[in-house]
Amino acid sequence: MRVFGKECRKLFRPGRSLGLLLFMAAALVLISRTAQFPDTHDKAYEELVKEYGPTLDQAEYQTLLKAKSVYIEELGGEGWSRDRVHWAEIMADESKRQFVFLVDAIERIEEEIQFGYGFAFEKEPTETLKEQLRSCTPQEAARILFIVQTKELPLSSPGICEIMESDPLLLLILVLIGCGVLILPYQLLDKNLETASLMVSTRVGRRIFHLKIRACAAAGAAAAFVAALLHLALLWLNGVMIFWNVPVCGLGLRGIPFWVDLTFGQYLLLWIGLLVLAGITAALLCALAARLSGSFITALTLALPALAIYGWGIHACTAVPLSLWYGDTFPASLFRTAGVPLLVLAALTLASEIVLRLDARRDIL
Amino acid sequence: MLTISEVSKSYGKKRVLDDISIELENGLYGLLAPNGAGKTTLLKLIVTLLSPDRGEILWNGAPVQKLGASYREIIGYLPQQFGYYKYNTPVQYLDYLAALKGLPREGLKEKIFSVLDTVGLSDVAQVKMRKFSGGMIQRVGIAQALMGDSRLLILDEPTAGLDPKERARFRNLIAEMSKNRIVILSTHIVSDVESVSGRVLMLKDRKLVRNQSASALCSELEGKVFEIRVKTDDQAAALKKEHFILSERNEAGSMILRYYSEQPAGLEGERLCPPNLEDLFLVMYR
Repeated sequence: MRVFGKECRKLFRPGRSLGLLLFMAAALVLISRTAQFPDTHDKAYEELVKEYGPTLDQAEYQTLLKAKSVYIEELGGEGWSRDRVHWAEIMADESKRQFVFLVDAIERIEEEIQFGYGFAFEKEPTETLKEQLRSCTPQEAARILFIVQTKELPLSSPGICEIMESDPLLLLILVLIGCGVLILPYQLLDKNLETASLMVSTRVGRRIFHLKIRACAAAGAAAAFVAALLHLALLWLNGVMIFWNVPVCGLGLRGIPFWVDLTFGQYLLLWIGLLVLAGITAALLCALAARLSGSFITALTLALPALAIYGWGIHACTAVPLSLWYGDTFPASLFRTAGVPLLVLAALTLASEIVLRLDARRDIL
Repeated sequence: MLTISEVSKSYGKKRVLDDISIELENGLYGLLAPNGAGKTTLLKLIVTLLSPDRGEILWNGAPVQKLGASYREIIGYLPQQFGYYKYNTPVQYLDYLAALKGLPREGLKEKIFSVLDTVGLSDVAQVKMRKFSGGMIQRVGIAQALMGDSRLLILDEPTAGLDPKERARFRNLIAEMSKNRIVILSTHIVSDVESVSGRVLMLKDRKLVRNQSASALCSELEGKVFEIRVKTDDQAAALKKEHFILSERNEAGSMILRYYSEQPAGLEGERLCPPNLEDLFLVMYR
């Protein structure tokens, strides 16, 4: 444990770790959808969640439609949006502008129900959706119909859906970069400095290589965890946490069709778990690539394609979970089974064990 | 007791050591051979970095490969080249190696400062090693080998890069340490071995050819080492043709040649000299 701690300390050298942390934070603030979240449209959904809770039942839906009429009256009655002068006045008024976006949000929900796309709300789905579902497997089609014909209408927003689709990929890329930045120099430094002869002659012996791989795995997990924490902080700062209990299974603009019912909070926790898994896998991959090669470039050449495929696969697990119209592409199809990332990790662990066992018999020249 | 029994080692098809057998008890052993003769290979076999192709190495009768960690924890090893982290201070580096050696945390700081004091680095204990000279780095290496009260101290070219003062200090130190442990000092610098070694181990043609005290080795050349003062280059050239020259130096306008000869050459001014280990080294590896 003491040696493991020392190896971890070598991995997380202060300058490099701080640099990585700042880079991750800056990338999240500059690129993440979460940072762009608080636009007025999503604020309208926030208001609805505050007013009605995470979902709407039939009665609440009727109340919402009545509220829409009130908002329209406040805006000047039917046809208010066609008057350009009037429109400018409305947009200059903070409270009236909010009504505009509330009306817009409610109309989007109405359209979803009307066209049976997204959420049919206990109605029979439209023929168009039924036609599209013919390209799915029977299980997938049944799952989608179940999601669409919901009894409780979720109040997720298009912004939430965008966050779920794009932020995980960004986080994943950041974690993979983090693993590369932390692990490749660490593994290659010892290799290039020829520290092995001194280390292996000590009490710890060739077990040092096992400890180093474990330290790399821990670094991968830590990089993923820190990235996830930064993202959670960003979600909290941008007021997205209000959607924590809102269901996010759906079609169209306000949901993603998952195999199980998930709230936004559950989705985030699941994603953090997957991200940590990806961090460990990427770390093992980098550690093995560095161990098998002698240079940064070679290690990167070995690790990058594998990381890219793995990253895309993990992303597919969460962003394209069912093979709908655009999801049936390799490696998304390969990774769609949630067990595959675990299998990849198991295979890598086995590979690293084999490499270490071969090393145990090899002479240290 | 360390027993090396009929050990052979090859790298690919190249045999480096052949049928080496030695028994080592507490004391100082100088391993002497020219570069590339297999000294480092033998030491790496002893510290288990390499596995012998044939034969075995035993510590108190037990094979070292099977003893594993319990054998390695009694070793203090200074490799010929050792990696260090430039961003570490000697204290940080020794603290890391102490963890690898499994030394207890209790009293470790004092131990680290004590070994640094022993090698004359206590005043730079907290300075990053990137600022160190080659000699200072070598002293850090010696310090790590001394940590942990090792029963078996293996030093591969320990005096490389040390200035004369440090070499003298180091020689005294290992002479003192060899009283209650086995110290193996590998070098091609003959004077290091001559001044400190209890016994000298010499490798030649992949085999161990000598295992004797320095004085016993020198006695092999008794009556065969001579010196003569020559005044002209022709005289020197003639002598070089006939005899194996051990050394030559200029003194007061003439040249003094030291040479090896089975019989006195019968030259005017020829003087019989007491042989030293360097003479033996040159004669043996000529």
